[in-house]
Amino acid sequence: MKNILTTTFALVLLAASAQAQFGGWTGTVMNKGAKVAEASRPWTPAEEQMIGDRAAAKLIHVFGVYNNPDMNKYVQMVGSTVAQFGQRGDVTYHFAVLDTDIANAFAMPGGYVFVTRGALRNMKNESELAGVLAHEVAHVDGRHLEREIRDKKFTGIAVETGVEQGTSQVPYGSWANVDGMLTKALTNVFTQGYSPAKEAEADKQGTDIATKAGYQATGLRDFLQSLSDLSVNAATQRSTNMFNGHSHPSFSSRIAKLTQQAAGSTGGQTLEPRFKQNMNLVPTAEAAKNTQAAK
Amino acid sequence: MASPQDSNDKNKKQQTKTDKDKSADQEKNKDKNKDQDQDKSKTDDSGFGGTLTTKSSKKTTDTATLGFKGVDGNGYVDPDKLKEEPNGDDLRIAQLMTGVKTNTDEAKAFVDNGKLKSR
Repeated sequence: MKNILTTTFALVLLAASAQAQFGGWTGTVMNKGAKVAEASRPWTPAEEQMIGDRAAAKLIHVFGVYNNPDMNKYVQMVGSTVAQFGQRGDVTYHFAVLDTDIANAFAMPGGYVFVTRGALRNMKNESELAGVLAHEVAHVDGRHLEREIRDKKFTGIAVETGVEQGTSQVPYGSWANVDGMLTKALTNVFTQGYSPAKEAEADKQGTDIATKAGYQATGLRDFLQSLSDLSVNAATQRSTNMFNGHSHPSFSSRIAKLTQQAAGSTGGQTLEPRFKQNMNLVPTAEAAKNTQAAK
Repeated sequence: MASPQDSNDKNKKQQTKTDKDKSADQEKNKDKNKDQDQDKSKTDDSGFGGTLTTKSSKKTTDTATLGFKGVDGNGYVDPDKLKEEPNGDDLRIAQLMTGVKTNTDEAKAFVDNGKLKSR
């Protein structure tokens, strides 16, 4: 017993000393216990930003950014309007459109929020866009991806190899480790989604945020209804297939909850004319085919 | 003391020099503008058109990739693509995103125009 206590005490001392000496992720001589503790602690703002930069670049690598400055600017304006009502004052939000026909939106650490061209095409007004962006802001507010990474032990790679490689200020020891961790985490988010609790939190919080900004409370709900409609139409379901394996609640249960939440709210803007004026999306061959099939 | 004639000659010389300078400057500016145009077209590839706070973000030709980029035939994210490391361009575009600042006046006009609320 005494030995265990002595060893534990020594481990704590060693970890504290490595932390004090090197700080952050940069220790070169850390035992496994200290590495576990290090890998599971919350990210500092600087680490969140660095990991977020890398995660955003990864999404950009997969989908590309839609080359339409006006559209990106409009999304940035709507996003900034709702983000003012987010909970975190330590994050600056950045918004952009991803160049793909799948209908989805993603939030990355450090305030990166993306909505896809396919999602925009299936929105009817600005309140739907605001609802979706606010939902993503709520994911950042709740540090959902970071928590997902730590809860699901995606940092294991760093525990085994990362910290020992100790390269300067790079989180988890090296960019290769960060990329490996992000690949695991994003694969998980894309195939299974966030946990039902995190998704429900983002739905509720996002709708609150959009409503505080002056938008109609039904924006997110109406967009989820459009996704639900797309998912049951053979010609269009491909754009929503990403949601199929998701463990988070079905469209119908989310829509029901949001309808209940919106019932207590009256007024708010939909801004359909302004939205349509700003949506100069190029009709893609795929979309044209879908329109034909839907007829 | 210089005579008026001398002064005129001097002025003429100065004028000629100024004209020369002007035309040299114009050439320089031409080159500079050319460079700036090239830089601008580079920036425009990002989809942000440089800084979004300026009025320079005129509509550019849309270059949307047709179809479901980044996903397989069933609409699922391409796992091989996801495993790839982001390249320099991807990181540059992410950096450009962080450089985009919403102009306060423009943001206020946007909120007012939509009868929305500011914090």
